[in-house]
Amino acid sequence: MTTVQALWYRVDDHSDGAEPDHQAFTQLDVLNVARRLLAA
Amino acid sequence: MEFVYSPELVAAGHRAGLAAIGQDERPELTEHFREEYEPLFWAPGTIEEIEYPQLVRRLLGDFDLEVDEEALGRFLEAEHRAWDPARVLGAHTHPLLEALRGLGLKLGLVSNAFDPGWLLRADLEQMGLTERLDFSVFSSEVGVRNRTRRSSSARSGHSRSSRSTRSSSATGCSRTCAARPSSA
Repeated sequence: MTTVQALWYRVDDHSDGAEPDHQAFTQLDVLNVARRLLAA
Repeated sequence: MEFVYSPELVAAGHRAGLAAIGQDERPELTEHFREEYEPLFWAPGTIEEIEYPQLVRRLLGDFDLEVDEEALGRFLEAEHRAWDPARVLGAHTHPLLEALRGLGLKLGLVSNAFDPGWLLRADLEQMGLTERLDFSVFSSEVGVRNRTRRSSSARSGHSRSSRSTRSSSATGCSRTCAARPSSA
């Protein structure tokens, strides 16, 4: 499953956190990533 | 959703909770909570481990207030409602979820929130998110925090066979809905 980490409201800096496949700085970024992945 | 912490709401929540179990306001209870328990919420890595109902039971017990499950539920619900002003849904959350669904994606919410699931599901309903999500799962319901392998397995069970993408906090939720990239 592809992951997108939302970062528009806080930085998730948990030391055990894994790396997401993508990062979203706005909600529109999520939509753009989804569209890009679906088109690939 | 953005969650805005407010010391005033801590007191308001306790007032509401105590009233719900037939008790008068106890400012010293809030003071005790802020000194003894609130630091746990800010220590890195510990908020994921908090079992809030048990914490509240301990807090009440510190003041010789023994509550059964039903009374504890009333306290938690009244306190949770007092915090309603702190939960602010992102301005574009509904359009975003609708647009993602419009792409044919199944949408799920995985949350590390420590509040009981029945309260969190009521929040989703109140915010118009229930009908925009295909499923939701809360750590407090499954008893496993979402950075663990077990909760990841439980999560994949939910999404199996569905074409899906996941967004950590696609709904913009922080305390109640944020999911770590390792487990969203």
